[in-house]
Amino acid sequence: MNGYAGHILRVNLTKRTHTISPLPEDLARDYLGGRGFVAKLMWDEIPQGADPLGPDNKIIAAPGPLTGVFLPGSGKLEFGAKSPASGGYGDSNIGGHISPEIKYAGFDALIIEGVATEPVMLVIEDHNIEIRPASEYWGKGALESEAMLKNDLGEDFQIATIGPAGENLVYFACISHDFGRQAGRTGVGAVMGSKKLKAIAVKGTKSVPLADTKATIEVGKKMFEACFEKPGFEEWTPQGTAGVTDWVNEVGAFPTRNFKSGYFPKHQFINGEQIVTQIKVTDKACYSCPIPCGKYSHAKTPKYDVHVEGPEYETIALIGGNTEIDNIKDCAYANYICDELGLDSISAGNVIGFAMECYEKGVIKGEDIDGRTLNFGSVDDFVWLANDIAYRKGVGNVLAEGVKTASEKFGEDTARFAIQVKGVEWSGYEARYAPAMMLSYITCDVGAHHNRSWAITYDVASGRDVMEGKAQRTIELQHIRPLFDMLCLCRLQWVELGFELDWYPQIFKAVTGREFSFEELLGFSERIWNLTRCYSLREIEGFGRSFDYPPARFMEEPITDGPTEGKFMPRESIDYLLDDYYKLRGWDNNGIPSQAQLSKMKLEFAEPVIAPLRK
Amino acid sequence: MRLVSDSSKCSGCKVCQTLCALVHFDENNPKKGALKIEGKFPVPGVYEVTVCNQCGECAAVCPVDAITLHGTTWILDRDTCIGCMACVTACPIGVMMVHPDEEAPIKCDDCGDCVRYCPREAILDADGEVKRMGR
Amino acid sequence: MGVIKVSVRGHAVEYFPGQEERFDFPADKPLTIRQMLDILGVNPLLIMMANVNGVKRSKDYTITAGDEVLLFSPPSGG
Repeated sequence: MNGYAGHILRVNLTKRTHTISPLPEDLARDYLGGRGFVAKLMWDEIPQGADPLGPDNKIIAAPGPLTGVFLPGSGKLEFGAKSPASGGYGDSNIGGHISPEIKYAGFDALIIEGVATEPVMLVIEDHNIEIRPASEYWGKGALESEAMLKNDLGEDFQIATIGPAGENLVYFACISHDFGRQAGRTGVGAVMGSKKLKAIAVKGTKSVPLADTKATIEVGKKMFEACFEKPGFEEWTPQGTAGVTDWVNEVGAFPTRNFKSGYFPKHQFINGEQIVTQIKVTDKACYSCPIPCGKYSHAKTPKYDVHVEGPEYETIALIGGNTEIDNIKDCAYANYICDELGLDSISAGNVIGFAMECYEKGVIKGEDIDGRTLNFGSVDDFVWLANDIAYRKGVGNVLAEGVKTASEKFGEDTARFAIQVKGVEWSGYEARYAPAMMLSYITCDVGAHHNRSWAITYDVASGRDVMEGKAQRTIELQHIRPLFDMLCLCRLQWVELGFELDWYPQIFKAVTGREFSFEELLGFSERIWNLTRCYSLREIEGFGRSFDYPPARFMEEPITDGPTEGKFMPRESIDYLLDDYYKLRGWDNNGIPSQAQLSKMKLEFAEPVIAPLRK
Repeated sequence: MRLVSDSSKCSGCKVCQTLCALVHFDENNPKKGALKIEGKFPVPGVYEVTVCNQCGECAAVCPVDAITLHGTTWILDRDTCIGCMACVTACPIGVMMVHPDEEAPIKCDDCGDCVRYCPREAILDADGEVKRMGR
Repeated sequence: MGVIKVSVRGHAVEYFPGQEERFDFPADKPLTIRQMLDILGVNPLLIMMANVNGVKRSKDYTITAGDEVLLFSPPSGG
């Protein structure tokens, strides 16, 4: 099959065995790759009711049909596993170079099952597969162990690792790669840790088969040329995603002080310009990317001297704004600590902001934390707590399971300001005055994550008080953006440069030989959106509408200052948005896909599981 | 045409390697690209891109004269090559590339596509004849 | 009457007249970028910042015929 490496690698860590099997044609035909493979394989393979951190959960890692091919931004990999954070569908995307490498080694998906008794690593060299002992790397930082493995195996291996947070089963532990890229969300790093899998190292030498080589070269070249010619091609890169920091404050959507406010008065000290003038070493690209968002940095003060990729916007928002760390070097340092520990910097900033508010309110007392302090604005406090979370010490052990679980344990109305949906912490956009963005967050299939739909400019353009039309737009974006995760391409060329979506069917045809319109490709994406909903319905008792609400803070507490001061989104507005959304999706009032919808999506196989859940 | 590189601009994206292999082997496989990128991470955190400077050391050691001068470019005739890899050892900058599926090493022929498509203009023609697309 | 050469980077182009990413804006007298956006019917909040003749400027910077203005959409985060 053109575009595909042609094989699936299955590794059983309990039995220490592996098998290589041909990629099933119907899987490629109906689910394309990446997120599509992840969703279908999770549905088929992970037994219902599996403990996310037990031997029955599986890690799926899947590139897509366009991964590793000559076109802009073809370096993404989708990781998936049942999420310890939500108990339902979980996936997370990572850039760098490991995804193409998996293709060059000959695989369209890795399925990792079972648990090892001792720390191990998976070493893939084309079709030579080894499960090797990894005790000497266990306990080491994610960055440190990658450096050690590069040294031990060779620079030409692409390596994914976990840090102590993953080893210690922190619910927001990430998988790290390429010294600064992370599959950050949904706790995929903890699933790796539960399997005692410290690292995956890959080296491949094979070619990706192309349906039409000449056309691939031709279209690929035109795509790069089109990028070069876009307005702002040169100007976007220097700051990367951090360039948006000032603007998010201008529209009052910057998470500040555990989402009390949407405006951080000191944002200009942590913006993209500060990265460029104070800490940047080089622009660092994922495979085949013409507009590298990675800002590899060196932050040095008398207290620390660290190299780190970032901080990118999300980290600036959650570490900078949300815990009020007000200078770029300290943000970079806190970013480094998270990366080395293997903590998702989004959730870490959210969780620590929550803990700081708990401390401020006296829910966490000085005596609970050995007399230490936990103050907004203190990078020292951030760092000690990040460490205690990763090593599950003291109050860190409670926070290690995320703000939802922690708020259940702390009680005292802390759930009100535990800023999460479905157990996954909210990322970098305050949405109390942005209905489409709010809906994007609350209906995101993995929890409160921005990447499935980013709609703030739509809210600004169409009116921030307007509720009509927001569901429609959110759904459109929830099909477009995850399509990139199925093809395993980066969407930033489209979002940031305005690169036309029409290019993708053209290159898809050249590479795979299959001809689709972009609309038809979106149909695949819609199928997956329904399938991931079904997965969470299958796995989480009582799942449905009640899991699609934001925390009470967003529905009841006005934003405290800045351009959106006084705004909040009452429950009636949320209800309106959800009603509209479910109706357009063909889901019932409880957010359960109808039989007709499942049939339309060719997901009849889910009907027996879903039917009993409908009322 | 004289290829030179400016490593300070390289972002490690490997577009050059992928395209190089595509146009010379009809294969999407950056491991067959005739140039080298090395990441120096985590410290100091830079990339080094090395391109063939057509110094001719490879030709000097070739026992079968498979590498011959055409204008200013040393071209490897893959049919004449016996795969002894003497040139790989002799190359002072490590850009006679080897690939396990290829009997002959892989050598740059100054086609210039890396210059045309390096998004960062980290690979340049010192003579200024070839430029990045759109320039 | 001269023109200001305008280009728009990124997704905000969809909110501009004709969704054109490069166009000429007729200018008979100097005006701020914000005023130009108002005339175009584009909410200034949809634009993150601007470069005028290659130099970063705020939306309150005054532009005039002959200037080249690059308008930036907000990037969508990490």
